[in-house]
Amino acid sequence: MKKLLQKWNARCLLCMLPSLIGTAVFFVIPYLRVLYYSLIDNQFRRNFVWFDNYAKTLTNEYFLLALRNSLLIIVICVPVLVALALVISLGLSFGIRAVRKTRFAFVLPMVIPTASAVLIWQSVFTDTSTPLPVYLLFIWKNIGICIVLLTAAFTAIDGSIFEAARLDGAGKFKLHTKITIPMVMPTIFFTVLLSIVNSFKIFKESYLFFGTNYPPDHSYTLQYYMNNNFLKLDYQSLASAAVLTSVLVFLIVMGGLAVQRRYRQ
Amino acid sequence: MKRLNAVLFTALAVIFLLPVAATVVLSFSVDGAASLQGWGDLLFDCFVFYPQFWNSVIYAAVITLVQLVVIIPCAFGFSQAKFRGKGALFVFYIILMMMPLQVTILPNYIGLRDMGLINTPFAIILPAIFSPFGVVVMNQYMKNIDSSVIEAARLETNSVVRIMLVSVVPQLRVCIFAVALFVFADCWNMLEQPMLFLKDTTLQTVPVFISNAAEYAGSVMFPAAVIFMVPVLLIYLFFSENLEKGLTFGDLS
Amino acid sequence: MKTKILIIITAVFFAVMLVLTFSSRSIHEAGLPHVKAGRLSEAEFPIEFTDENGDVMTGFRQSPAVTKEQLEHGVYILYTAEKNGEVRDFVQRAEIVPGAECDGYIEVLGGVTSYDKIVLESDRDITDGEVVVEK
Repeated sequence: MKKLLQKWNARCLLCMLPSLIGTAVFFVIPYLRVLYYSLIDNQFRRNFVWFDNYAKTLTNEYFLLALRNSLLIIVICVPVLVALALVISLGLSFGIRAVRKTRFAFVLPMVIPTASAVLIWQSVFTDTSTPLPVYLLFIWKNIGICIVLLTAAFTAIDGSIFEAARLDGAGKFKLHTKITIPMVMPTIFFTVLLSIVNSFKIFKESYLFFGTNYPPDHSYTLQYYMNNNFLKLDYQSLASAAVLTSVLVFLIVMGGLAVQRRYRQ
Repeated sequence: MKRLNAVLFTALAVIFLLPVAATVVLSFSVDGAASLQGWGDLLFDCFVFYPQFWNSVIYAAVITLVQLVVIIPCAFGFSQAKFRGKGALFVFYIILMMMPLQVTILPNYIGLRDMGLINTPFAIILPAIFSPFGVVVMNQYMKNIDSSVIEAARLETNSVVRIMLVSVVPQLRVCIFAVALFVFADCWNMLEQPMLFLKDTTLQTVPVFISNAAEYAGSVMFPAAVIFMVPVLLIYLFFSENLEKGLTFGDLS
Repeated sequence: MKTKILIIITAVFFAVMLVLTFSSRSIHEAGLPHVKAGRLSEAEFPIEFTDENGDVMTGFRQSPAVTKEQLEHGVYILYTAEKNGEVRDFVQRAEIVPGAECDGYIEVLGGVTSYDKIVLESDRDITDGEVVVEK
C-alpha cells in the first residue's frame, strides 16, 4: 500500500517537471545570471567588485528619479484604483438590475489590447506635462480585474447577515462600511497587492503613449531605466537595478502576505 | 435614490466604453472627415501588417495551448503530491509572477542568444509558455476540486493522465477557460519581447506595428487598432459568462 | 443563440483576413500603372570641326537622346524607395536639358544619366511621385 502511495507521489511530482524545468531555464537561471552580472565590473574582465555596482546605482540620479516615479505610481494610483473598484463593486453587487448590467463596461478594458487603447489616449491627452494620462490608462485597464475579484467576494457573503443587519435597522452606508467591507478584507488585500504588482508592469502603456525611450521626467520609471541600460549595453547598471527592483517587489509581496495572514487572526 | 445610482452608473459605464467606441469611430475618419482611406491604406497598401497580424494570432494561440498542457499537470501534481517545501515552492512561484518584465526579459535575451534562438518565433514562444502566472492561478483552482472524485478514480486506475483527464478537467472546465483567456490576452498584448527578441519585420507582432505606425503613409493606426481588438474581444465575449463564474480566488494562504 | 452569432462572426473575420492576406497585393497592383523601363537610348548627332588645314569636316558623335514624343510626354526616372516598411518602385519626373536635335531625336545634356532607368512604356498615365509596378 505504501509503495502504491509512493508511486503515486512520484508520478505527481513528475507531472510538475516540465513546468519546473521551463521555469528554471527561462526565469531562475537568467535571474542568477543577472545576479552574477551585478557583482562584476565589466563583461570582459569579469572581476568581482561585489557591491560597487549597487553603490553606483543607488547614487545615480536617474535611478533615483525612476525609483521615485515608480513608487509615486503605487502611492497614488493603487488607492484610487481600489477605492473606485470598491465603490463600483458595491453598486454592482447590491444595486438594481440596471446597474448590474453595466458591469460589462468596466470589465471590457481588461481585454482591450494596450496598443489599441493608447491611440485614443494620445489623441485626447495631448498635454504631456503630467503623468496623469498614464495613470488614467492604468486605472481604466485594471479596474476590471479588481471589480471581478471584489464582486465575487461580495456574492460569497452569506445573505442572512444582511437580513439580520436590516432587522436591526442599519442604514445602507453603515451596513456597507461596518459589515460588508470588513468581511471581504482578505480579497481587498489581495486586490491591493495585485494592483501594486500591476503598477510595476505599467511600462508598455507608458512606452506606447510617449513613443520614446526617454519620456518626460515625471514618467521615467524603473523599467525605462533598465530598458535604456540594456540598449546601451551597460549590463552592470542594468543588473544592479534589476536586482534592486526585484528585492523591492519581494519585500512588498512578503509584506502584503504577512499583513494578510495577521489580519485573518 | 436608486434611480440616481442607475443614472450615475450608466454614465460611468459610458465613460469607460468611450475609448473603445472612439477608436472604432476614428478609424473611419481621415483629417477630420469621414472616409475609408485609412482602411484602404491599411488593407491594400500596408502589406507588412498581414504577416504581423497572423504572427500575433499564432504566437498567442500556440503559447496558450502549450501553456495549458504544461500547467494543468503541474497544478494537479502540486495539489496531490506531498513533499517538503511545498509551501515555499508556491511562494516562490508567486514572487516570480509578480516580478516586472524587465527583470527577467533582459537576461532572457542573453540566454536566447546563446541558444541561437534570437530572431526566431521560439524566442517569443518558449519563455512565455513557462510564465508563472498560469501556474499560480491554476493551482488556486485545483485546491477547490473534490478530492473524493480523485480517490474514487484512483481505485480504478493508476494512470495519472487518465485520472486528470476524466475526473479533474471536466470539473475545472470553467477555470481552464478563464486561465486560457487571461494568458491569451496577455500574449496578445506582448510588446517588449517582440521588440527585443525579433529583428525581421515579418516575424513581428501588431503592437510593434502600431508603435511604428507613425512612419507609415496614410492613417493606418486606428484601423489597425480596431482589427487588433477583434480576436481578443471575440474570445472574451465567448467566455464572458464562464469568466464571471470562475474567478473566486482571493486567498493566497 | 449568442454563441452561434459569435462563431459566425469569428469565422467570417478570419476568413476575410485570410483572403485579404493572399489577394490584397494583387488587388493593389491592379490599380497601379504597369511600366516598362530601360536605359536611355543613344543617337548620332552631327558635329563640325576644323582640322589642321582649315577645312571644315563633318562627323557624328554618339550621345544619350530621347525622342520628341518622350520629351513631350515627360521623361520619368524609375527608382526604389521604402514605403510602409517595404521597398517599392517610384517614378520621378526628370527635368531634361535638351541639346541638339537630329532625326527626331533630341540630345540630352542633363537631367538624366545613362545609368538611370527611365520609363519606356506605361499602360496608363503616370504622375510624379507615384508608385508603379515594373513589368
